[in-house]
Amino acid sequence: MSSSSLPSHSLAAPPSQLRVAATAVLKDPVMLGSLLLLLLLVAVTVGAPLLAQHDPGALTPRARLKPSSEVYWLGTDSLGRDLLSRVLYGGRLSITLAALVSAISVAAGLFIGLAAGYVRQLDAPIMRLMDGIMAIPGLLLAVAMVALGGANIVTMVAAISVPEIPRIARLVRSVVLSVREEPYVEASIGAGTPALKVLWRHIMPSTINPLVVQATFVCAAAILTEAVLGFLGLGFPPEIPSLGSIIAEGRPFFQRAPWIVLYPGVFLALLILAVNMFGDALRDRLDPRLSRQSKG
Amino acid sequence: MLEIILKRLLAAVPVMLIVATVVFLLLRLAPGDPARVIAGDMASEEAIAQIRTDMGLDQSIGTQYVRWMAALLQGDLGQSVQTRQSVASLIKARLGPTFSLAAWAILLTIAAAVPLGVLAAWRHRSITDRGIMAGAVLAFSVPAFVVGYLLILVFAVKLDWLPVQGYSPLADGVGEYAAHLVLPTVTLAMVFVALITRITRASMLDVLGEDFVRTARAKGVTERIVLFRHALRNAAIPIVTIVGVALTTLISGVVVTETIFNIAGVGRLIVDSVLARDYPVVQGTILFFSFIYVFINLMIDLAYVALDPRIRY
Repeated sequence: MSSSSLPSHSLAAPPSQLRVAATAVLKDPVMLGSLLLLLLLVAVTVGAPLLAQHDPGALTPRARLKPSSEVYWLGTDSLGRDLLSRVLYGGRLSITLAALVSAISVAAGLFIGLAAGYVRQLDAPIMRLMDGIMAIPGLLLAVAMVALGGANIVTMVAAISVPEIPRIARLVRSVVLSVREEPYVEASIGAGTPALKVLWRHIMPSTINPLVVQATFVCAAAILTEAVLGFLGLGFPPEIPSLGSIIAEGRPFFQRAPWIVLYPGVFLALLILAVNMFGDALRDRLDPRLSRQSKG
Repeated sequence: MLEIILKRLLAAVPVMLIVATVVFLLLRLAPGDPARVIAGDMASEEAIAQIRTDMGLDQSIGTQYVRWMAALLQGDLGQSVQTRQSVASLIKARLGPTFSLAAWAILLTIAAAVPLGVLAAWRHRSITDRGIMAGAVLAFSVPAFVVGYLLILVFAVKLDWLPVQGYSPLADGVGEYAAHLVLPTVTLAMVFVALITRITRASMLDVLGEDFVRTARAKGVTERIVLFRHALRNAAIPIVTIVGVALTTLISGVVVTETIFNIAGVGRLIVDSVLARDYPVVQGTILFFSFIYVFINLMIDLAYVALDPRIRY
């Protein structure tokens, strides 16, 4: 898509998709900056076992509520656990979960949206169901699902994905509805192409750009929701460090040791900021219809 | 007008029915025996059986569904397993703080976000515009509990200007009421201000490029009137729509904010009920919030007619 919008310089072979993408990233300071920050954050969490000098669960009763020092770079929590390693492992969990949630909710939303947009009889019932789910505040739906299913990875991913699916389904449906009126799609249908092939070859490609953009926003929302669930005491069990639960555990000691709340908070904020800024920049590039709204 | 109201009301009915059905199914589709989940790990078989009969879980799913809907139609949101009080009365008892918090947050949002958005659009691509947009992305990204604790650290702990937490009802004096509400309101409104600023700016940018704005400027209308009377009025519909859609964000925010500041509101009720496995209260509270959401969006649909006389349903 993006290659066609760039001026073609010569008769030589068109630049590869990868090179086009790379030049676009390098030319946009916001995209480059947010991508670098995001890669840095992912790198430090992936490298958590190497970077963290201490086991995130190791208790050191002598070193409780210590501010940052050479031994404990970000200080310790109320049980004397190293905050740096807890934050890194927590970040790792957030990022993994967010990636899973994005993949699952995009896949489900795509499937539902294609069905609603393409099969006329399914449209009304599916979209009313989506409206109903959207009317339930997402966090509350997630809270209820986690409360019933228990805080394991399957329930957590489902609980955070379900509230995101309707928005994606709506987006896909709107794209399908506009694309299916295009002459090339009508021609293809008229020529007797099987419905699945029409969807796959002619309709799905138009949904990719908006979906990529939407996936980044789902990612940011998922990181936040996981942290909020942890903060409310509804996240993973206490032995698994998550950014939200570290903050919740630091709450009672906030006046004496504010760093327990602030460091994971800063990490979380940077992570969400990087994803959101990358998403905004991506939207400006990939979705000219929407970019007007943010760049004019 | 009456016809419009009736039509919109009718359109809201299926959404509410679906919400009620989804909330009903949540408990029944959960893995395992819901009575056992509610009773907890330590419960005796008798206690589990008692809960099963109390909640009607021993009946067929069809019967349960009909009962649930029939009760809802009579305004019965169910009964707490723990305290035996009706969910409606539990919500009513905690509505005050939640309502104050939400109302002030919405007022603050409108007071801050609309002027900021208009300013950013007016000074499009200037330093001011970029500054406001950068601030909006930042405010949108920093989670409420981080903002809340920073505010507490600065204004309550270090400067000692405001109370650290809690809520003081209006009946106990305006000063205390306001002092307790400042930090929670700012915390809650933050994300909302960021969101509405962005939408206001986008919507204004669209409108400011229109012919009638150029005409107004050309005939010498002052810039303030062009912005606020000509442009903002036409930009209002997307803004109002997003305010309605973003209400779910606000409701989620209420839950978090009430937890940060230890405010005993409806948001906290839902978390406490989850922790106490009081599932009927969780269900009832979710329904309550969802109905409020549908109701306010219904009001917004009706407000369109007032904002734009061209709209007819």
